[in-house]
Amino acid sequence: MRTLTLTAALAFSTAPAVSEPEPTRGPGDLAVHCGTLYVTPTRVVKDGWLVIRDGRVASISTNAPTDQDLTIVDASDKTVMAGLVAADSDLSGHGDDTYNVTPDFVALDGFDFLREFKSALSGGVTSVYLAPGRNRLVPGQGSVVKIAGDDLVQRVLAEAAALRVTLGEPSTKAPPIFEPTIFPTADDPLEPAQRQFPSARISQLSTLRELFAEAAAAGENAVPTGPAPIEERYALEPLRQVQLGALPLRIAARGAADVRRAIQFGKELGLVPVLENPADVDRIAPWLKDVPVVFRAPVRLSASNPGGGNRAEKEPTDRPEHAGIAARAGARVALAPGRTADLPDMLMLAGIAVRYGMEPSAALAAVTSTAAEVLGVADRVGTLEVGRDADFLVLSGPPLAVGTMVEQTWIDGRPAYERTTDVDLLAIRAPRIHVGNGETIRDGTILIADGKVRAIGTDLAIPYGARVLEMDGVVTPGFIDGNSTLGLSGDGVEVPGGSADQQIAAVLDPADPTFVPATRAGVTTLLVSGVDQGLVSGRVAAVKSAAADAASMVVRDIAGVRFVFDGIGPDAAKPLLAEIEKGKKYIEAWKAYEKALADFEAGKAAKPVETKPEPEEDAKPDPITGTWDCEMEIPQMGRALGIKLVLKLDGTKVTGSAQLSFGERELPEAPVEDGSFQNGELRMKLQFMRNQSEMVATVGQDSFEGTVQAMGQEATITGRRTKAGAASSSKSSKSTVDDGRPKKPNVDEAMESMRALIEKRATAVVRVQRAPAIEAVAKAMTEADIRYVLHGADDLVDTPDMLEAPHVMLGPNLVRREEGKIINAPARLADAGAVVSIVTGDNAGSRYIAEHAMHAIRYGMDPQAALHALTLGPAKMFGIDDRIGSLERGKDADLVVFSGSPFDPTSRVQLVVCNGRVVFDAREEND
Amino acid sequence: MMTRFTRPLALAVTALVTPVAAQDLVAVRAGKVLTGTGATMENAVVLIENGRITAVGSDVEVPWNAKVVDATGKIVAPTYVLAHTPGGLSGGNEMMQNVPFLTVQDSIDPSSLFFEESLRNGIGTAHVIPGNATLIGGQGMVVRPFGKTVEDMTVVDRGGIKLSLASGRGASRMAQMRKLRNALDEAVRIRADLARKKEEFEAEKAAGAIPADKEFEEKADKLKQPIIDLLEQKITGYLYVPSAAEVPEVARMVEKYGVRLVLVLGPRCYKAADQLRELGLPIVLDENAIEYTERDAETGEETVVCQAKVLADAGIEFAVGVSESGRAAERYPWWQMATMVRHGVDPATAMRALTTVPARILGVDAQFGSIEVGKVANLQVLTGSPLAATTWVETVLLEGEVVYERSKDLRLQLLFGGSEGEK
Repeated sequence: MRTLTLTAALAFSTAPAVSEPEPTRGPGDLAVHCGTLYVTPTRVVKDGWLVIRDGRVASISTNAPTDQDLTIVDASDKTVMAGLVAADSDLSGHGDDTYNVTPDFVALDGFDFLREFKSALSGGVTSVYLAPGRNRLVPGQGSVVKIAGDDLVQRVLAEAAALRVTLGEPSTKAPPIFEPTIFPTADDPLEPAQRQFPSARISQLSTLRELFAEAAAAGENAVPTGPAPIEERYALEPLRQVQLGALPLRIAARGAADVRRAIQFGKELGLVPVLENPADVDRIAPWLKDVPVVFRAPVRLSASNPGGGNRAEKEPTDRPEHAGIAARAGARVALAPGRTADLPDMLMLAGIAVRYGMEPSAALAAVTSTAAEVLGVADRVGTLEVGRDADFLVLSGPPLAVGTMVEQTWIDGRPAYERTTDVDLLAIRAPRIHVGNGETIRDGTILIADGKVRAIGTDLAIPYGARVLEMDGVVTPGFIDGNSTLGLSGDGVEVPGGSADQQIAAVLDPADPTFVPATRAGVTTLLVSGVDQGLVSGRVAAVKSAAADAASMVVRDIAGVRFVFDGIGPDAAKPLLAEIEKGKKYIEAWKAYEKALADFEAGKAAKPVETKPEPEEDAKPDPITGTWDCEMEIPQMGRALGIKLVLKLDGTKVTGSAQLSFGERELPEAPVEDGSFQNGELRMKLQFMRNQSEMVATVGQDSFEGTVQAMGQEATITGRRTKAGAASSSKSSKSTVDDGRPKKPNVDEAMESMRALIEKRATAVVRVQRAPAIEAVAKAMTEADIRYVLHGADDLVDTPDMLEAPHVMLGPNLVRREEGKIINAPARLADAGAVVSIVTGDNAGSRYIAEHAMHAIRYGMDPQAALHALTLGPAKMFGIDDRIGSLERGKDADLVVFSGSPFDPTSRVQLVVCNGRVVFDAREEND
Repeated sequence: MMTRFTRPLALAVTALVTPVAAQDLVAVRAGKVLTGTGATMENAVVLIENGRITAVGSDVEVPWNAKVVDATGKIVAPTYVLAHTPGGLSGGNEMMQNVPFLTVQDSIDPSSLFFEESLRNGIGTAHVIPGNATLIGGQGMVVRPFGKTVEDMTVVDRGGIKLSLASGRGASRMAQMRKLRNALDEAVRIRADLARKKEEFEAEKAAGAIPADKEFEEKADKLKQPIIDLLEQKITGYLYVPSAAEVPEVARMVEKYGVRLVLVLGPRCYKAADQLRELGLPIVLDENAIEYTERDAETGEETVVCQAKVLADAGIEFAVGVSESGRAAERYPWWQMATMVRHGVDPATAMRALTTVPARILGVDAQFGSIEVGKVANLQVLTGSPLAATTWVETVLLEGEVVYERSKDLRLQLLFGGSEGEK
């Protein structure tokens, strides 16, 4: 039967190849330039050439081949190794049969050659052993196949790789057999269902001995003849082949006792069986010298961990250390994942085996060369020695490293898999990173995903597929200008004065070209407001200078409200407090509404509010003006339509609107056209659903009757005036139908700004100069519990201990000379413990913020404090330090790379990243 | 010449056409005749004598004594032929997996709705055979969907024998293949055994140990005989192939046992189109095998594959089935054909898949499948294109006899509240 299968497969594979040569395939002759070439797990060639002809390895050398006909595969910065061989799998698609002994089952029969094994190929698996079934005494023969390729003969590495025998618990549970006699007679009675041997471990070996003895006795005649019920026979030939040494024996045994019996039974037959997945490895280790062992090891510990929580649990489990113990005891270890879903992680499986005590080369061999030897297919696969099948992998790095991925899988010199990545990961590596919180990282990496900092630090493993930018400069967080008007000026239009009701964030355009110079200077966030004017001087919006769209541009739409205040005197703070008081009232109004609404919706407002009569319009009553409820009957429709007319009579002219409704549904209002009222006759044109219709009606006392011509049909219409007089719009008439729902207060944008202040979503920025004013502001704001920042605060510079750890915004003038002395405001305040922000207060000038800071540093400011004043300082002031200001995990990925120290005048900006996107790269600009 | 039947076919057919004396001459006036061979004739007459077509054409005169079926302004087409259907059986699949001796003759229910529906949908000939759930399910027969007894309905009393590689009833694909192989191996052995015994018998007879007038009489077990017939190509196997993975096994079977097979393909066979073409076996697409939504086991991605289109593109001829019940639309021939056309199959190919191709597969192409002189007059009158959803089957004639008229279709009238008849 073995030969038969192959001939049949041959018939298939040759035919299409002859009739239809595949044009898409390249020629099978390749020269693979390998950065590192693992010919075997122990023989490694650096910068080598792997030459492949006719799907086999033709030569290996360190010199480039001179042959012109070879297709070059460039893997010169990659690692190349043999395709992985999984020494066990369930890919045969075969479950357990009813019968306990079926030696002639061949796993290959159940294998679907046309199925695509994309995920296994993506993990570098090229060949697999197919198990014939797991829970029967003799379930059949396992096979070894390649999992891709068109040539089916080539794909079968071994049709009969081993006869499998199962010892222990699993094979004692075969179900009873019931094969009813079709027509029972006295001679051929109906037999009851039969239990199958063995049903306990004790009878397993004797059953096997009996089977093998029978096969030996049958000799050449092991193939049965003559009519007999098929169910009564075992095919004995495979058992005989095992005894003749032509077919390996593979025994699945878990516990130590079962393994001992497996080895003993092998001795009786004069052979060494392949052990499949023993579990009690500690206890069986002394017997394992030179024994081939296949382990099905756990890779993903997503389910319950091997070992379980029960200490008393006797059931042996698969543990990652088994392979190492067996290898140290001298076993020839092959590894396979326990589950089909883990095939893509077979290299990691080998890595885990190393972690748990296996030698790296042995672990690599366990998934390649040793696996091939154990399966008896080492003459074809498992290594890349000359003459072997050209099944090889191109890896992104060392085979056992955690981040290494299989980039290409080749089978028989043809591509079977190529990885494409759509990973949106950016990794920036630099010799120095200023995190922004005072910490500095040397030779660090920042990993960016989804616009956020995913990780930062030294020794970060860069995930496969990430774009890596190797920078040689200094990284700082993106700069923040705490006071800017950038983006608010138009062509020929100056920046407007600020007011609290301006919706700044809505008017800014993320694609505004005026942002670009600021971005390129490293400013990634701007706190934008109009020019200061008067006490309440404008809303402040926090926006990104280089966002992809409007949504990602806005950090906070009301980040602050600016005030100008320099009052002196007992009641100087009153106007300021009055603004806040207004805001509080506004909040109260909304709270009241929300409560009323909640009550209403909870049904508490049970008493309906009386409908208030609308004030009558002071007009003479006429027969038309008013609101009419009409019914229109179209004979074909079989039901009435509602129409609401709101009409106004002016002389003989009738104007107004009509609204059609179907039950609950109302169509939009349409104006009445060509309306007239003469001699008690009302005529007008109506628009219904884009259809013109004409209405003629005779008007009586508050009612009319008439017809409507619409869509070529005549309908009757009757109307009744529900309200005479005021020709109010239907909208306001609707509101007279008061159901007690509370009325929503109007949204007052100016008050919304105040509300943001009071609710601590925004910061009050108070431009203030003199000491008494500073004190007054501090007192008022503290009492009102409002977060605030002083802008300017000249007198504070002279007496910094006036307030405790104040937030102060300084700029554009930072260093001034007074009577020959240099007064460095930011340095002084920073030294005194204030949170300082250096701002430009400028438009296009926002780009020079680093130069402002540079100036302060030149005259004595600590560069770290200056950096703080451009990053985390302003972020904290506006309460947006959860998103920006420093390069910490989870924050927005806004950063700048300078060629040197950020405030060194000779340093240049090399790279700017905003919201995780590279928005400026000087290297590209120079190209 | 794919199939040969145990009883001569013509005999069976004429036997059916006995009660036609009163109307032995029938003329169908057609607005348009789709002959089924690719030709169309406008305003033609189909003349029928004793149940067979004697003339077709636009210049055919209608004899004065002919009964006229008026189909002016309508389309006349051959009735459809189903090469494989488990429809109309009552309890047609045995739980026992190896029952070659069974025959659908014992299971066909003439009052089954399937046959009534078949007439309403223009089906005139159907090879009824056990379903796909049994390894060796028994033998089928070719019937017409009209008659009160199975004998009335019979067209060919012995059809093919049903084999299935569907791994149903708990058995794996591998086990199913092994069982089928074992059953065939056993038949091979029984045959060899008998041949040997006969040889011995003849030798003994020649030696005078047995009287010369005695013949060798030992026969194979009746229960196994159908499989021996299969090996001897006296009967055709209708083998259900659920997916492409089983196709290599089919090749093995043909090579090893030399059996004659018709392949009934399940939905997932299209990947083996090249192999199927190499095999060159007749093909029937099972009722649900025309269009198939494939779900990638790894990515979960779903793609709709039209197996009929793939096979047609590979140059493979095929017949299609209709379902008995199941998914409603698939029981309509127009839906099955229109599905194929929607995926780009040529309409003529779609039509052939329900007429000439199945007739050839069943070996009854000399009688059925097209409107040609000499063929059995199985015709349907359609109100419009056979592919259109709005088309009704107006009249069905089997062997020249009107067996269905929509105006007298009680069930339709009930469904449409009586108003349907007037339209």
